[in-house]
Amino acid sequence: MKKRDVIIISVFLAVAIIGLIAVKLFAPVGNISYADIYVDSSLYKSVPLNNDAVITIDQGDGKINYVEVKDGSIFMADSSCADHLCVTQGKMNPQNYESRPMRNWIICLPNLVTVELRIE
Amino acid sequence: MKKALIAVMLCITLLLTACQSKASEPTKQSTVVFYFDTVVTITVYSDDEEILVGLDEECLRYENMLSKTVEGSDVWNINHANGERVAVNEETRNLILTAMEFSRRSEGHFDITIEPCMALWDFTSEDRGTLPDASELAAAAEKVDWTKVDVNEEGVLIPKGMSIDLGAIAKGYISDRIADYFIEKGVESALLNVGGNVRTVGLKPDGKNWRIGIQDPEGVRDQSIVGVVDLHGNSVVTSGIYERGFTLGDVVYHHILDPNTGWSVQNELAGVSIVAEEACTADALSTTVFTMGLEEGTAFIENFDGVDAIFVTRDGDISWTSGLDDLFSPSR
Repeated sequence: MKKRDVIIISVFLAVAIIGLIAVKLFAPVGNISYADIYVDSSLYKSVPLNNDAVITIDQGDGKINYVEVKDGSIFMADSSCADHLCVTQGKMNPQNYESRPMRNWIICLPNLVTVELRIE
Repeated sequence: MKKALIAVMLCITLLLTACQSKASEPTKQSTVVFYFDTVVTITVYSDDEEILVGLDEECLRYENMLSKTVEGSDVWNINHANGERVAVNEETRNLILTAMEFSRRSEGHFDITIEPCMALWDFTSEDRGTLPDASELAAAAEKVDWTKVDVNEEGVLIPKGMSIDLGAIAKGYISDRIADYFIEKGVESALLNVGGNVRTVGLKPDGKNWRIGIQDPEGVRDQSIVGVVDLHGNSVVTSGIYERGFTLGDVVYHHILDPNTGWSVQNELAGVSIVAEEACTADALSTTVFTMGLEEGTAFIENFDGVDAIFVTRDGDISWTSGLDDLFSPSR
């Protein structure tokens, strides 16, 4: 093998390895899932599912929803709506969404509050 | 030696492009809007940043055309014409003709003229729980007759006293129109849910089928499912006794009414899901087949090209038509 060939191959390999490392580094951190909370049709807040939290959505007209993140799942902990169907929609996470009738959504129709689990 | 060099370079190129193609999956975009007394969620995979622009207005246009409660809508005008013919939008006319075709094929198990009966029931308000007056309901049921709906080029005419409600077909129809719009724009992957009417476009971005959970009619409180159905470019719509209604004694009164009597259909079924290419078909047939019951409904769907059904009885038994043998996975 000529010396020049070795150099060219080495350079290519180096570029490829650096490229792969860069892709790994700059790719969205794969294991954190997010959920987007909407009020009416506008994005209210995006929340990561790796931090336990309670998000209060107070629309100022008596409509209040409490969205909770716990142990990697997101759910409607409480709501000011009358039917509480949103609360009964239960916990949602990247592992269970395909076996939920509402899939990657939690919806409070009376208060126009929706939570969408990002699934890409 | 040059060959080896070229081979190594090709391998590296392949490696890099393999990563590239994954990164170039179309962007996921989603929106949620509130129309037709329900919620519309749209998830579309597309790099066209304008793809969701205008959908809100389009939903509003359909609501203002097809809702029976919006004053001045085509349906409102038909219902308030006192026996006169009403000029309507071509889409309304075609949708009514489609609805009548389902009435014909099902021998009246599907009927948009059920509205006078529906008007006597309250399935949704806070005070729900009272039955309509039996003689009033019987009188209203007398007015139900889809064959009296007269559609021609000039418009739609129904006899005085009759009224129509497109609620059992409109949501499916609108899902299809949104899907058509996406397909026209070159979208290869999208998932729409219009108040429980699920319509898919193409496959998931990863090339697999969409997997849609089928609601367990008895498990509405904990959102459990009876199984998962694989969809590719088609639709699934569920009708059941759990959606809207109330219980008196041990009888569940729900929003699917028998066109002959005006009373809630009481048979062995708790829920029916229809899988069809178009959500409009699935929407209309879910109500139709529910009214027919398990045996007649199964036979009807087995004879209906391109359509399948999943049945859940009040005893919790699950059955499905033959076309779903490879696509439906029951969870119990």
